[in-house]
Amino acid sequence: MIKILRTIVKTALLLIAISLVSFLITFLAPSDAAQIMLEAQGNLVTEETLSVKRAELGLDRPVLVQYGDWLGGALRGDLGRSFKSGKPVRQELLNALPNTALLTIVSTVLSVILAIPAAMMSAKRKNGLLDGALGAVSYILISFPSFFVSLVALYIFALKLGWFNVIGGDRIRDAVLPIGVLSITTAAWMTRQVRSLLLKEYSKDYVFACRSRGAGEGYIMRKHILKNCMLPISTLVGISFASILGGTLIVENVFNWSGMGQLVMKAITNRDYPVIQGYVIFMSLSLLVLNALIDMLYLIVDPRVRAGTEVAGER
Amino acid sequence: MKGNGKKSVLFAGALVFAVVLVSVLGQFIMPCDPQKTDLSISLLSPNSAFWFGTDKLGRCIFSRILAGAPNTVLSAVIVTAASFAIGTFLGITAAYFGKLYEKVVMTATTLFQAFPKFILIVALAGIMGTGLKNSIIALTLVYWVPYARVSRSLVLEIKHIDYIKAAQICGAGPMAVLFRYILPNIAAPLIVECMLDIGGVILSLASLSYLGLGSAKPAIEWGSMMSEAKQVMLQAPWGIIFPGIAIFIVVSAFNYFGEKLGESFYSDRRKTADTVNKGRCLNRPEPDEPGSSLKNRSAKMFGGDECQDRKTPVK
Repeated sequence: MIKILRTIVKTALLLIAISLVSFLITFLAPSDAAQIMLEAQGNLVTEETLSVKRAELGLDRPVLVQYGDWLGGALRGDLGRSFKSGKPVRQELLNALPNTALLTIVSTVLSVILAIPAAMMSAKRKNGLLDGALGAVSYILISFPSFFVSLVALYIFALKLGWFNVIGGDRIRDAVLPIGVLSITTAAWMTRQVRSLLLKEYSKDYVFACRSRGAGEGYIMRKHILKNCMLPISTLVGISFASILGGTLIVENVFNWSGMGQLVMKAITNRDYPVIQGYVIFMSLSLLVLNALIDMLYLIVDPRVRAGTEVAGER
Repeated sequence: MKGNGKKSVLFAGALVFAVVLVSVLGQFIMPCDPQKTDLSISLLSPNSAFWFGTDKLGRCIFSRILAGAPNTVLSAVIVTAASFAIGTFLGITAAYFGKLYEKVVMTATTLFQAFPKFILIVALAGIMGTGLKNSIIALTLVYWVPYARVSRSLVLEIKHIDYIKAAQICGAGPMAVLFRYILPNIAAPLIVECMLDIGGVILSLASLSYLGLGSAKPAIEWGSMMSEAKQVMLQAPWGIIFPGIAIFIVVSAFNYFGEKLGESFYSDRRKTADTVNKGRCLNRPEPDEPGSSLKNRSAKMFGGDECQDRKTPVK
C-alpha cells in the first residue's frame, strides 16, 4: 500500500516537473507570444504596441510568477487559449482526442498481441527458419523510417489496390492503415526485444530443472519463462506506448487522419504555443499514467516486487 | 575475440565506413546539378540518364540523394557525438562526485525520460523553428539522456576498484581520474550504444524533415524529398522509394555494426568472466583495453585478485 502511494506521489512530482519543462520550452522560441499575436491579428508591430501587448498578456512579470499562474490554470484544466483560433486549448485537444486515442490504444494492444507470440515462436527454435524469417522482417521494418512504411502502405493498399480511401470517408475503414502501420512497426521492434529477454531467461537453471522433470517445451515457455519475463515486458509495453504516441504524429500526417498530431503540426506552423504546450503535457501525462498503472499492477500481481527482491531482467 | 566474430565486426565496420565515405564524397560525383529544375523532364521514370528518375520539378533524384547525404548522415553523427559527450560528461561526473549534483543530474534524466521521445523532439524543433541546426539541437537535447544514465552506472561499478584508488593515491586529480582512468574503461559499451543510436537519430531526423521541421527549403534532405514526392506519389513512386532505400541502407549499416560490435564485446566478456548480465549496456569493458591492463597491474600491485572486482554489485 505504501508503495502504491509512493508511486502516486512520484508520478505527481514528475508531472509538476514536466509542466515546468513544457512551460519553459516556449522560451526557446525566436519570437514571443505578444509579437505572434500582433502579427496574427495583422497589427503593426512596434516597440510600443509590443510592450502594451506584453503587459496585457502578463509577459512582463517574472518567469516563475507566469509559470505559477499557468500551472494554477492547468491544474484546473485550463491550458490557456489558442493564439490562432482563440478557443480554449483544452477544447481543441479534447476534440482531436478520440481520433488519436483510437489509433494509440488499438495499436498498442495489437502490437503486444503480435509481438509476444512471434517472440515466443522465435525463441523456441532459436536460429530456426521461422526465427530467421521473423528476424529479417523485423530488422527491415525497424530500419525504415515509419513514414516510409506508411507511404508504401498508402501506395499499395489505397492507391494501387483501392481497398481504402486516400481522403476521408468511413472512419473505421480509414483507421485500418494507420493502425496497421503503427502496430506492425512497433511489434517488429518489440519482437526483437522480447525474444532476447526470453532467450536470456532460457539459459537459467530452473528451465533445465523443468525440462528434466519432463515438462514440455511449450509448457515451460508459457508457464515459466513468459511469466518470469512479464516485468521487463511490461516496461517494453510502456516504451512501445511512448513510441506509438510519437508515431501518431507521422501516420496522422501521411494518412490525413485528423487527430492531435495534425492539430499540433498546424499549431507549430502557426506558432501557436499554448496548443503545443497543452499537447506535450497531455501526451506526457498519458504516458506517465500508463507507466504508473503498470507499476501498480505489478505491485498487486507480483509478490517479488512487493517484497522488493530483485527481479530477472530488471534494469 | 573469436576469428569469425572479428571478421564480421570488420565487415560491418567497412560497411559503415563506405556509407560515410559515400555520403561525404558523393556530392563530388553527382551526375547532374541537384538543384537544376527543368519542367520538360519532370517525373521521368528511372532511365539511363537519370538512374533514379526525376521529381516534380525535373530534378535528378540520384544526384539529390547524393547531395542530401551529408545533411542526413553527418547531422546524425553530430547529434550522436554531442549527446555522447554531454551525457557521458554529466553521467561520469555525477557518479564520481555524487551528493546533490548527482541527484540533480539523475532527476533531470528521469524528467526527460518521462516525455515521449519523438513528441518532445517535435515540440522542441517546432518551437525553435525550421532549420537543420535547430533539429540538431532538439535531437541532442533528447538523446543525451541514456548516455548519462548508462555512464553513471558504469562508473559506479568501477569507482571502487583498486586501480582507481591507486591513481588517486598517486595524486591524480578528479578530472585526470575521470578522463584518463575511468573513461577508457567504460568507453566500449558507450561506443556500442553510440553506434546503435545513430540509426535511430537518422530516422528521427528524416521524420522531422518529413514533417517539415528539419532542414529549410533549398537544402536537400531525404525526409523532405519524400514529403515533396508524396504529392505525386501515384505518378512517380520512385521519388519516395529511392530516398527510402537510401535511409534504409544507412540505418541498417549502422545498426548492423552496432550489433556486431556489441556481440563481439559480449563474447569477450563471457569468456573472461561470468558476470551477471544486466542489459546490453551495463557491461564491463573489453579486457584488452589499455585501461584494463592498468587495472590488472594495480590489482597485482595491491595483491588483489584480478576477478574480485567483478563481484562488485551492479547498482
